[in-house]
Amino acid sequence: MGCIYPDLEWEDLESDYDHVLNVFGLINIDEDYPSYIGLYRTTNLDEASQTLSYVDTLYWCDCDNDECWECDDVQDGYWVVDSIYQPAALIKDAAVIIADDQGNNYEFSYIDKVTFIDTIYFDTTFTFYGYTFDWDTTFYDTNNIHINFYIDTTGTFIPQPETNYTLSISAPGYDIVSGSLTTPVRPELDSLSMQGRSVDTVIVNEPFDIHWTQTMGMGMVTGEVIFGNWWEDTSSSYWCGGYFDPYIIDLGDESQNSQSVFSEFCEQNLEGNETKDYFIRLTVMDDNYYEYFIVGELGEYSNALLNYPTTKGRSIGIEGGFGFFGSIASDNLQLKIRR
Amino acid sequence: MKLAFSSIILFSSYVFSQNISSVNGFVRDDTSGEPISYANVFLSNSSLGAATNQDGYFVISNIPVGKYEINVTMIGYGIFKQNIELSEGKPIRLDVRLNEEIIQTTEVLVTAERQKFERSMESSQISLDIREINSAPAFIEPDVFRTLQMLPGVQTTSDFSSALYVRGSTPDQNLIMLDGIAVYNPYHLGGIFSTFNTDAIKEADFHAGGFPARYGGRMGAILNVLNREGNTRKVKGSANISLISSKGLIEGPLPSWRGMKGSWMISGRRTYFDTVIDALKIPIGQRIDGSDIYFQFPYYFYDYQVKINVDIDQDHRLTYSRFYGDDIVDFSFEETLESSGTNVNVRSETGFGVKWPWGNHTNGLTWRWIIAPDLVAKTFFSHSRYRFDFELSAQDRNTYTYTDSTIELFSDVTFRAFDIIKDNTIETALTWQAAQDHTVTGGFQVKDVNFDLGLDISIATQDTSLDFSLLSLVNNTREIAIFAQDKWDVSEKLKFQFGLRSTHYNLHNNIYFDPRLSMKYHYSKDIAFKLNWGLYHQFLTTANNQDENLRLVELWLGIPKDKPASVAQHIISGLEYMSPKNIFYRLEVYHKDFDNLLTLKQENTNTVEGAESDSTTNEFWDTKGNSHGIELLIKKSSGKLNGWVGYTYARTKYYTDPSGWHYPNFDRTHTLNIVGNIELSQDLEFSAGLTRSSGNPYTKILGRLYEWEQDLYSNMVWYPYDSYIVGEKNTERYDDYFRVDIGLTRKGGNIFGQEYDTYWQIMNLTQNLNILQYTYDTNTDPLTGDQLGVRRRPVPMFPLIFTFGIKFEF
Repeated sequence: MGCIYPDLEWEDLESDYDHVLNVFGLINIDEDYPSYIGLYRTTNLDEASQTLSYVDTLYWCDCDNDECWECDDVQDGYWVVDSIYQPAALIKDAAVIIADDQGNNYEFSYIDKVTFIDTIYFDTTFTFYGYTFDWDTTFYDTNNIHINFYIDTTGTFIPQPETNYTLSISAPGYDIVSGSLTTPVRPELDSLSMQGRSVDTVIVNEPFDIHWTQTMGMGMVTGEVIFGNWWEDTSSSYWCGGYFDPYIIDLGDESQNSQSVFSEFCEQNLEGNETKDYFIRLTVMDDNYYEYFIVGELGEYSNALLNYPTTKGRSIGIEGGFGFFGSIASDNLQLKIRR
Repeated sequence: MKLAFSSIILFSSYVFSQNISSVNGFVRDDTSGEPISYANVFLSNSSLGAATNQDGYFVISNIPVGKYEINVTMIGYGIFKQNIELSEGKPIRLDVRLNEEIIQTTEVLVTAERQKFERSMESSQISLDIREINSAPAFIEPDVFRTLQMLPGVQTTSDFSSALYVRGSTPDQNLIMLDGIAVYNPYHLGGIFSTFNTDAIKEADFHAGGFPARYGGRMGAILNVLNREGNTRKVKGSANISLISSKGLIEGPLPSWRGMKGSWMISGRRTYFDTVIDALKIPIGQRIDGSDIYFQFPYYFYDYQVKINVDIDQDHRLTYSRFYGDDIVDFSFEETLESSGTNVNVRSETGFGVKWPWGNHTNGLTWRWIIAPDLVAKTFFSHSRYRFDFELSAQDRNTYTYTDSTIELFSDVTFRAFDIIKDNTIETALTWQAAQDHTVTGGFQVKDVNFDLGLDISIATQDTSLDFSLLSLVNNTREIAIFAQDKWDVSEKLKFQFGLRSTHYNLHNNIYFDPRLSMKYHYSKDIAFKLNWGLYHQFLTTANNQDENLRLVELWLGIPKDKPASVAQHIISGLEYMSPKNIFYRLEVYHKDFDNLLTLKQENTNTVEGAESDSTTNEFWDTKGNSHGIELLIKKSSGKLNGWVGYTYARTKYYTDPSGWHYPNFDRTHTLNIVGNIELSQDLEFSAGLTRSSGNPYTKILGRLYEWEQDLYSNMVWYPYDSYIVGEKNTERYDDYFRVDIGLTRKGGNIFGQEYDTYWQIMNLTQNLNILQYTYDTNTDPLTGDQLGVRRRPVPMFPLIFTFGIKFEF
C-alpha cells in the first residue's frame, strides 16, 4: 500500500461584518477588589487580536559568563525581556456609566497603567516527589500587571449588596450597550471543623468542613495554600497543590450550610509540624455571573481541529454587544494548615 | 398462538381439497449448494409461477391438478426442466439444483433484477449480490458499506467513514443486521471498514426507506447482510492477503447423520500492523535506564463468522450464526528507576496503560419450519452484544527501603468509559401464501436491550481507596412488537401491501402503531409505478457529537422515560422501468419528516488554545427535521459490462433550538455515482467508481471576541481568551467532492499448482483534494509576538492510495 499526500497550504482568512462591543463588566462588593469594565470590540479574522504594548527589560545575559539559552545566534549576549501584550481591539474613548437604583450615576474612566513587578531568585534548588532538583540558576519571575480598564477614579462608587445597577456604554461607531444586574448578598463564612470539632488549623490530606451562614444566591467555595514566595520557599514543593476543586453551592438551600472538602497535595505523607497560611473564599454570584462562568455556553458547534473555543457570542446581562455584566460578593478566611 | 397455527393449517387443508395442488421446494447452486435467490420458477403453458426468496424457497400454489412442465431459470445457470403431475391434495416438493453455465443460452432472459422488478412491492429496495459488492473499487478490500455508499440516497460525511446516511437519516437510525441479528456498531477502525467480511457474504438486502412492517424499531434504512450457508458438496476454502490484513474462509458439508445433513462456513480476518511494527523494533527513544523504547502500533482488529445449517428433515432447518468482531487498542508503558541515598534505597515504578476493546459479538439460532407448502415459519433467538470499554490507568509506586523499615507510597488511578449493550431478541415470522393473490406475513418480536453507559474513576493510594461514578446511564428496555402485512394482487397490474406494526415500549408503557402501505401499478410489462407510505418509530439513539466528521465509536442509549419515541414518516413514489436488455431504471421521489430526534448537547471548551472539545453524554436538544429528494438509478447487473449510474438530489434539514433550521453535516445536495465493472478478457477485470457531489456543510467563522475564565482563589483574577465567533450553523459548504477509483483483477494465476487472483486498486486517481474539515491557526509575528490574523488549512480525505492483494482459493 502506498499513498501520495497532497501539498496543503495555509490560507489567510478574511471576514467582514458589523462589529459590536465586547464587554467584561464586574461589580465587586468586596472592598478589597475593584469593580471595573473592560471594553473591547470584536475583531476580524484578518486583523491582529493582541499586540505588543510594553517591553520589560529584565537583564543582560552574558554568553561568556551566564547560563544563557540562546547564544547560538548572538556573539556576546542579549537582553532578556518580558513582553507585555494588550488586546488590539481595546476601546478607549467610550462613555461608561453605572447607575444605581437611587438615581446616582457613576462615570467610569479609562486608565492604562503598567506595573512592573520583577523578582529575581538565585537559589532555585527544590525537592519534588522525593527528588532534589538543583537548577542553581538565575530565575526571573515577572508578574507585570497591565491595567486597561474603565474604573471609578473618584472613589465615590461603593457598590452595595442587593442593589440594582444599570450599565450604559456609548462608544463612537458602535451600538449602545446597556446592562443591568442585582448585586448579591454579602456572604459569611462561619467556621471550619474537622471531625465535627471547630478548628482554626486544618491538617494536610485530611478532610474538613467549611460552614457558612445561610443566605441566598449561588455560591462557590475555593481554597489554596498561600506561599510568601514560591521559589524561595524550599518547602513549597512539598506543599504544592493544596487546592481543592471549587464547589458550587446554593446558599439558599436550607439543607446545606456546610461542605466537606478534601484538598490534594503533591506529597501524600508530609512530616513535621510546619504550618502555612491557608486561604478559603466563599464567593456569591449574581444570576448573570453564575450563568456566564458556571453554566457556561452550550454551543452547537465544536470541532476537534478548531483548536479554539467557539461561540455564537454570548450576551449575559447586557444588550447591544457581547460579554457580560455581573456581580460577586465574597468572604474569606485565612487560617493555618499543618503538615 | 396455537389456535392461530391450527386455523392456518386447517385453512390450508381446505384450500388443498379444491382440485388443486401446489409445488414447492428450494433452488440451489449445484456446485456449492448455496440457495439461489430470485430464480424464476414457472409452469409451461400456464401463467403460474413464482420467484425464489432469499432462502431459495418457492411455492406455486392453487394449481389445478394435471400434468405440467416446471421450468427454473436464472441467468448464469442452465435451465432446469422437469415434468410433474399434480394430483389433488398432494403437493409436490422439488429440490432443484442449477448448473452454472458460462455460455448463456438466449432462452434465459430473466435476471434476478427482473424478478425483483416484477415481484417486489417495496420502493427503494435493492439487493446486492457478492459480485456487485466486489465490483466496486475498494479501499484495501471490498466492503459492503462502501458499495452501498455508491447507491442513490446514501450519503457519507467523509472517505474515512463507511457509515450510511440514508435520505436524511443518521447511521443510528439504520437497522444493520447480519443474518437477521442486529449489529450496533458495524465498523472497524473508526468506521473505515465495516465489520462484514465480504468473503462470507452471500448478498446484502438494503431498504433505503418505505420498508415493510416486518422490520421495525428504526426509522431510517434496513440492511440485512446474509452470509453464505457453506458448501454442501465439498470442503473448500479461500485466503486473501492484503497489506494490512489477511482473511480466510473455509466451508464444507456436515457429515450426514440419521438423515440429517447440512453445511458449515467459517471465515475470519485480522489486521497485522501491530505485529509487523513490533517485529521491526523501530527505536523512538530511551528510558532513564538506557534501554530503548520502540515504536508501537497498539491497534488491531479481528472478526470471524461462523454459520452452521442443519436440515433435520425436509421441513425443518436449524441455522446457527455467530459473529465476533473486536477492535482493540492495548498499550502500556512501564518504567522502573532505582536510586540510593545515604540510608535509603528508592525504587520508583511508574506505569501507564490503555486498554480499549470495542466491537460486536452476536449469536443467533434460527428455526425454519415449512408447516405446509404455502406456510413457512421462521423463529429466531439472538443475542447481540456491543461493547465499548475504554480504560486508562496510571500507576506510580515509590518504595523507600531503610535499614530497619520499608515505606511504600503509591497511587493507582483508573479511568473507565464504557457503553455496553446486550440485545436479546426472539422473533417469529410466518409467511403464508393464503391465496394466489394474497401473501400474508405476520409475527411477533420481543426485544430486550440492556444499555449501560458510564464513566468511572477509581483512585487507590496507600491510605485510601476511592471510586467515583461520574456518569451512569442504565436502561433496560423491552420492545414487544406484533406485525402483519398482506400483499394483495388485485390484478395483474395492480398490487397493494397493507401492513401494521405495533410496539409496546416498556419505558413509556405505551403502544406505538406504525401503519405501512405500498401500492404498485404495472403500466406495462416493463414499467411500474410505486407508492409507499409509512410511520416508523425508534426507541434508541446515540449520544455522539452531531458535528464530528470522524467517529470512532457510537454510544447508544435507550430513549429515556421522559423523552418521546423518535418517529419518522416516509412518503416515496417511484417509477421503474426494466428494459428488454435487463437494464433497470428507477426514478424515485421521497419526503421524510422526523420528530422527537435527540441531538447531543455540545459544550464549548471555555479553555485556551489546544484544548479538546468537551461534550455531555446525557443532555439532548429536542430535534425535528425533514428531508426530500429525487433519485435516479440505472443499473445493469448482467453481462460483461455491468454496474450502475446513480444520481441524487437531496435536501435534509434539522431543527434545534439553538441553531434553528440547518443542514446536518452529511447533507450533500447533488451526488453522482458511477460504478462499472468490465470483463476485459476471461481472466482480466477492470472496475471503476466515480463520485462527484456537492460539498458537505460546515459552520463559518466570522471573527473573534474575548471571553473570560475566572480564578477566585486568593487573588481574584479573570483571564481573557480569544474565541472564534461562528456564523449560522452549517451555512457554508466545502468544495465539491470528486473521486475516481479504479481496480484491476487478474484471475487464474497459478503458483505451485495453487490458483490465485491478484488485484490492484488506486483510490482518488485524480488526486482531488476533498476536504474533511479545516484546521485553524492564529498567525503570530515572530518578532513582536503579536497575534495577527487567522488562517486555515484543509484536512484532506483520502489522498491517492495504491493497494494490491492476492486471493487464493483451494
